[in-house]
Amino acid sequence: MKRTVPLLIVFSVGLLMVVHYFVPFLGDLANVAVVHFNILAAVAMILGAGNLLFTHGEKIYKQHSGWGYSIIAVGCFLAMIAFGMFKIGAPPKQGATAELTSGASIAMVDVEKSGKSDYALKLRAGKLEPDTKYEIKLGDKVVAETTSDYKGSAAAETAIFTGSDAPDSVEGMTVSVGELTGKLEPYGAFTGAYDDDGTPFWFFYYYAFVPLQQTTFAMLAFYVASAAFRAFRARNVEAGLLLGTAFLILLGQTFAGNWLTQGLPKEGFWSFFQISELSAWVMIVFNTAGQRAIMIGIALGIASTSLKTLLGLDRSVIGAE
Amino acid sequence: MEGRFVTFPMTLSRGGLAAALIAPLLAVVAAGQVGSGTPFAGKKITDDKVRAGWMLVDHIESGERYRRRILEAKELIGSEGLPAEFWDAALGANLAVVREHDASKRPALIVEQDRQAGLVTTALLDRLPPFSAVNNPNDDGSEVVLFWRNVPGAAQYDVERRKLADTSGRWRQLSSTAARGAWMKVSDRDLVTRGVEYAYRLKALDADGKVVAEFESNSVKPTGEWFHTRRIGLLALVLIISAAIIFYIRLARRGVALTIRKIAGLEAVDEAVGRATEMGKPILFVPGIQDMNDIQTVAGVIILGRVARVAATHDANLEVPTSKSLVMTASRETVQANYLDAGRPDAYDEKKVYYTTDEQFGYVAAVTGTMVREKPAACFYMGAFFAESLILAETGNMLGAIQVAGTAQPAQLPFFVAACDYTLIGEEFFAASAYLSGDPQQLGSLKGQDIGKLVAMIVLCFGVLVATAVAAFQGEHSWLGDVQDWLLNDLLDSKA
Repeated sequence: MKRTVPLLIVFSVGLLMVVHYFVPFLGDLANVAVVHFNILAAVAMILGAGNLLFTHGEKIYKQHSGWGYSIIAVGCFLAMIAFGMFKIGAPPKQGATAELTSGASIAMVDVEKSGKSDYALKLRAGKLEPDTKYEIKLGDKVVAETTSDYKGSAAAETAIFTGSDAPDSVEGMTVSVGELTGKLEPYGAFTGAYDDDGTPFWFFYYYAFVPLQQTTFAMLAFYVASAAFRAFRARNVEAGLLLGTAFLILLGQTFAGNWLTQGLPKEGFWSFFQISELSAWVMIVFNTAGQRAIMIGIALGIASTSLKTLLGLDRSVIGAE
Repeated sequence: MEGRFVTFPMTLSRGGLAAALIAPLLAVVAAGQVGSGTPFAGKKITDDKVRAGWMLVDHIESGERYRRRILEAKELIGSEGLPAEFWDAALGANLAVVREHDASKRPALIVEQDRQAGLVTTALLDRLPPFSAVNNPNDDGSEVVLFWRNVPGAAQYDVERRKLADTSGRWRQLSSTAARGAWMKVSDRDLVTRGVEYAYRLKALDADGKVVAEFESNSVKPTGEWFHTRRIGLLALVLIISAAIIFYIRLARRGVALTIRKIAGLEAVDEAVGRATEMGKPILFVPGIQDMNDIQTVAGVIILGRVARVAATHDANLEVPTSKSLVMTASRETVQANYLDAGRPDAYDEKKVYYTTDEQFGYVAAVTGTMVREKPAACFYMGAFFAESLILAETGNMLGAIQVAGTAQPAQLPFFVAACDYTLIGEEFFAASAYLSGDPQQLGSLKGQDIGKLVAMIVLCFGVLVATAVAAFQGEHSWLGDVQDWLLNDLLDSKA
């Protein structure tokens, strides 16, 4: 059972994905499988986070070498979770909100301050009269219009005040959507975004995480140089050809390459020998041909691996032989 | 041409299909229902081929498959539309664009193409109903496309919809769109129900909001198609390759011996693990940075199983840092199963298969840190890699580890080739599981892949011959052009 059920799921979902590509009638059915995968992956994050805490926790507890770094890792991990989940340091949203109800109809109106003195109105409404046009009023002024869809849902988003027109505050103003009416109330705590400018989450993300990430990425430049030095040593004919081609492509990408052959005619036979032309020719003809050959092999390999997994011929991925 | 407009019977020949496309439209023109400039007020056109004309306009406007569309437009309008010189100019401009487009994308030629396309569109528009509703082909019946000619003086259009079965006769507001261009197109998507018949009403409003024209469309019933007609060639290829793979798997099951060439990178797995065991150093396996929904990760985890089995046999220390929780879970299952199969369940330590972070360079820092600290004697990189490929492989190289890499990311292959001892290139990476297992059934799948390669080679050679013939004999306007068009756009599915 432990192996059969996963195999059945793999087979049925895999088959659905293949069939869906050729049968438009199935609509969004394949996307349901994708959504389920995303849910699964999100839940699995708990496993990952648990594993991270366990691994580093054990390291700290047993004081293995480098346990001090584990304290930093766990501390940063917990701090960022706290900053994000509890919105520490994030002020409430600027503006006001109102929940308008009448019978089964409901409308949520947000009037958010989007700049120094600009306001944007956002509406989400449900269970309205289907296919009907509604006026959205702030006080006595019609600020926007929206039309409900066939299910009776409606949405709108529009700028309502800009610059000098804008009042200092919209709190207490009357807002109405058709017959639904109410007063705008200030936003409560925890309504601000956890990553708004100035929040601790934003600070550590942009001033600690991003620079560290970019530093790691920047190391690539040095690794490319060392790998190129090793790869381009002309030890035999093939390596010599590789070196020559690489040199040509490098020259073709630089000013020097174009400058060296600028004396050659722009048209006719000799124009082909301009470094930029030669470089483009190598890339378009040889490189593309080679890449396509590899891509055909990859496509066939993917088809074969997928088929083996779907048919359960290769079950090692679910831990069975 | 088959499959462009799905309502055509599939059994029609190419000529018959063209006739089916053109005849109803010409019949409508002849009947004076279109092209007279009078409003087309809800007269039911029983043939929905009018939409073919609108689709033609649509394709010309978007510049897609331009040459074929010009020829179809020429056929549709005929000599009564525009002089022969016009068509020659339109085709000439198009061919120039085709030649120049990829190389330099010269704006002047693109503008020229648009101008000519605009003329063809105008000629076509005069012969189409002012407002049409058409069922979108090759979908699940959730979309109706509305086309209309721009009304002079109109600044805005209000579109309304009603169900024909609705006896109240009430029109529901659908959209409000500002006027632009010679023709307009709006999609009514996800709000219509499959199998229900609808009618649409268009109100053209001037700048003051006054109705200057009003049209009612033909009725339309959105239908879901059971087969995507433009993907028939691809389906045939999929079936041939799948059948070949299954055939050879069955052949292998019956005991027929299959031989495969040696793959140095996979032969080196035993050597690498053995070396790590002798040196008393760990083996590092990196399954890429994608999740389990990526086939490369699946292939990587399959190879991990084989590496884990050899490691268990040699009693070597295997370490697997992962960047996705699901990959960690799947890897643990795989490694545990292989330790069990190797008769060493006691040697399995789940702590050695662990999660680090989802972040790309955070993962790189964690893995390279582990490498520098623990100095593994063998490193395997099997899965989907991006910018981190060279950082990982160079770090391993500096440590003097035996390195084997495999990926289906063509852009990363040169980095692995430069920094690793062995690299599984493309198909070798996917063949690794069968190769390492030696299981006859799985080897059969490799043989089936060879048939796929044969099919690819035949199609490739045929395509090269056709393209060469089209270029040599200037056969763009002949059946050769059709074949080339079909190969590029339908079989290879580039525009489906």
